[in-house]
Amino acid sequence: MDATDLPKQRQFTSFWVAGIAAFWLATAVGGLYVIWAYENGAGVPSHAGPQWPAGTTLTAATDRPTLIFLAHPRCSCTTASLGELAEALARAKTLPKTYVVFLKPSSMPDGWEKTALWTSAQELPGATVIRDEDGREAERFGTVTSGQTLLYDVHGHLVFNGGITSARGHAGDNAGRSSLVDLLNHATPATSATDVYGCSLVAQATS
Amino acid sequence: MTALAGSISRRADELFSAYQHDIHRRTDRLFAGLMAFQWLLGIVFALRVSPLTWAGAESSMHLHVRAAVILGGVISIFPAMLGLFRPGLVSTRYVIAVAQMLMGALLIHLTGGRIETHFHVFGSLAFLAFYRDWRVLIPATIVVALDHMLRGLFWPQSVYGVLVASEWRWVEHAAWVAFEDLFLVVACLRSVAELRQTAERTAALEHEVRTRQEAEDEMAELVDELKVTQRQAEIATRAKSEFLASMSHELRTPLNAIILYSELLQEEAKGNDAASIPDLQRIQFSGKHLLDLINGILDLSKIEAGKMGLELGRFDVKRVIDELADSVSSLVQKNCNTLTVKCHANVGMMHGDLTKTRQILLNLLSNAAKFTTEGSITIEVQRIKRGGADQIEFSVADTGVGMTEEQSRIVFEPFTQADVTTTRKYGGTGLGLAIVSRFCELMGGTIAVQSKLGHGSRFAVRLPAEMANAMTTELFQSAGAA
Repeated sequence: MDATDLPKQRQFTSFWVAGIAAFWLATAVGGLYVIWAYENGAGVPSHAGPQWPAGTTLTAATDRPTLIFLAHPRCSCTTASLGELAEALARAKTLPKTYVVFLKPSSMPDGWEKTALWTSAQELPGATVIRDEDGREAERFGTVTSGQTLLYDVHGHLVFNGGITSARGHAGDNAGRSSLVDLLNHATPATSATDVYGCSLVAQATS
Repeated sequence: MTALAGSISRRADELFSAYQHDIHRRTDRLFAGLMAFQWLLGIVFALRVSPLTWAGAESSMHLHVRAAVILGGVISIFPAMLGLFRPGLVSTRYVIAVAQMLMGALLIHLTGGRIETHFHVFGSLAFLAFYRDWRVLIPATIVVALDHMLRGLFWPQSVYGVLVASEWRWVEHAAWVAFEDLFLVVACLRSVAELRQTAERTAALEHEVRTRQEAEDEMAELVDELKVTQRQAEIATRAKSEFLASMSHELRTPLNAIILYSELLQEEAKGNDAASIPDLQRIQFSGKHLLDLINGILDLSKIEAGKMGLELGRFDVKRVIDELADSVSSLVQKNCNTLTVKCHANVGMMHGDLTKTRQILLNLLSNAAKFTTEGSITIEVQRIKRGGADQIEFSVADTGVGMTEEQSRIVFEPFTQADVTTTRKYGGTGLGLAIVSRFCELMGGTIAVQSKLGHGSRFAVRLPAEMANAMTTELFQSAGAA
C-alpha cells in the first residue's frame, strides 16, 4: 500500500464508522421508543357502574369509604401499584375499608395466588386480602386490568376509578394516587378517573 | 523563546499528547468492559423484576426481558467494539458517552423508574470525566435533556408524576445534570492542567538527564585523553630519567678528574703558590657540589626509571644507629650542637636494605646538623605495631630553624628547599629529602615531618621491620611505574 493511500483509507473507515454510528443511534432510540410506548400504554379501563355492585360478596362500609384494589398476583407492574396504594393509605386521614382482591384462575393450583404481592397486601393497614376465583368479583366490578382501584363513598357511590401509577410498573408521584389521597382527606381531587397500567386479569389481552 | 526552551516545550507537547492518548485509550477499554457488565446487569434486572407478563392464567416472556437482551445488546455492542478496536479516538468516546446515557435510560425503564436507578446518570457523568475531556460531557448531557424533553412532551406523568406539566420542566431536570457537569468540567480542566505540568516537568527532567549524560560522556572522553597523556608523560619521564642517568654517568667521570686534580694542585701550591689555593679550593668545592648534585639526580632518575633495586639483609638497628652517630658527630659539633641517641630496647634486628636505611638517616641527621646552631639533635628509634605488622620508627628531631607549614608541605618534592636563601646560606642540592622520601616509598615505608618556624623540625620514618623478598620486587615495580 502506498503511503498516500493511508489518509484515503482512514477517510473511508471514518465514513463507515459514522454510518454505523448513525444507524446504531437510530436503532437504539427506536428501541427505547418502543419501550416508552409500551410503558405508557394503558390497560383496558374499568366499566364499573356508579353504584356499589349488587351481586358482589364484598360488604361496603357505611361509616367510611370502601376501597377495592383488584390485582393479578403475578403481575410485575402491580408491585408498583400496590406500593402506591400503601403510600396513599399512609397519607389518608380517613382509613377506608380496603379489599385487595387477587385473581385465582381455577386452572391454577391452590396457593398459586400466594405470591410476594399477596404478602405485601396483607401488610396494608386495615386491608382484607381475598382470593377471587376465576375473577368473578373483578367481573362484578367491571374490571379487567390489574391495579384497578375503585373508591366508594359511604353511600356506595363510585368516587374514584383508575390506576394509581404513572406508567407500567412505574413507582412515584402520579395523578391517580394524588386524587385518591385527596378524596380520602376530603379534598377536591384533580381527577376522578385515571388510566390503569397492569396485566390483564383475563386471557387474550396483553400486558 | 530560546531554542532550548522551545525544544523542551515541544517535548512537553509530545508527552502531554501521549499521556492524554493513553488516558483516552485506557478509559475506552474500561467503558467497553462496563458496557458488557451493564448489558448483563439489565438482563438480570429484567429476569428478576419482570420475567413474565400475564393475561389471566396465561403468561409469556415480558417485553422487558426482550428489551434487556436485544436493545441492551444494540446499545452496548457498538461502543464496546469501538472501545476495544478504535480506542483513543474522539469519535469512540463520544459514541460511548451517548451509549452510556442510553443504557441509563434503559436501566431506569427496566427497574420501573426507581429513583435509585436515576443515580446511574450522575455516576455515568462522573465516569465519563475519567476521560479528562470535558467535551465528552456535552453529548451525554444532551441525551439526558432530550430524553426528559421528549418524554415530558408525550408522557409527562411518567416523568414528572402529573397529568399536565410545563413544557419547560425538562429544563429543571437538565439543569441538575448541568450542575454536576459544572464540577466535572472544573475537575477535568484542573486534571488536564496537572497533566500538562507533569509533561513539562518530565520534559525538563529528560533534558537534564540528557545534558548530564552528555557531560558524563565528555568527562569520560577527557579522562581517556588524560590517561593517554599520562601514559605519554610517563614514557617521556622514563626516557628523561634514562637520559639523565646516562648523562650523569658521563658527567661524573670528568668531574671526578677535576676534583682530584684540584686537590693535587692544592698540595703542589702549598709550597710555591699559596695565593692560588683559595681559587683551587673553590674549584674543588664547586666540583664536589656538582658531583653531589649529579649523584642525587642519578639516584632520583634510577628510582623514577624503575631501576632502583633493594638489597635486603638482616642487620642490628642499634649498631647502625651507633655507627651513624659516630660518623655525624663532627658535623653535629661543627655548629655547637649536641646529639642524643634514644634507642629503645625492643628495636632488635631489621630485615631490609641497610644502605638505603643508612642513607635516609644520614641525610636527616646531616640536615638537622646543618640547620641547627647551638641546639640539640635527637635520634630516637623504636619498634611499633601498625596493621598487625612490626615497623621500625626512626625519628630525627632538632631545635633548628624549622619550616613554615607551606615549606613542610613541599619539602619532599625534588629541587625544593625551604627557600632560595636556604640554598644560598646552607648549601645543598634540594634533592636529599626527595630521595629520602622515594627510598621510604620503595621500601614500603613512610616519612612525615612536623615543623614550626624557629622551633625546629621532627622527621619520622617508618619502615617495615621484616621486608619480604617478594615485596621487594613489587615495590620496585610500583616505584618504577610511578
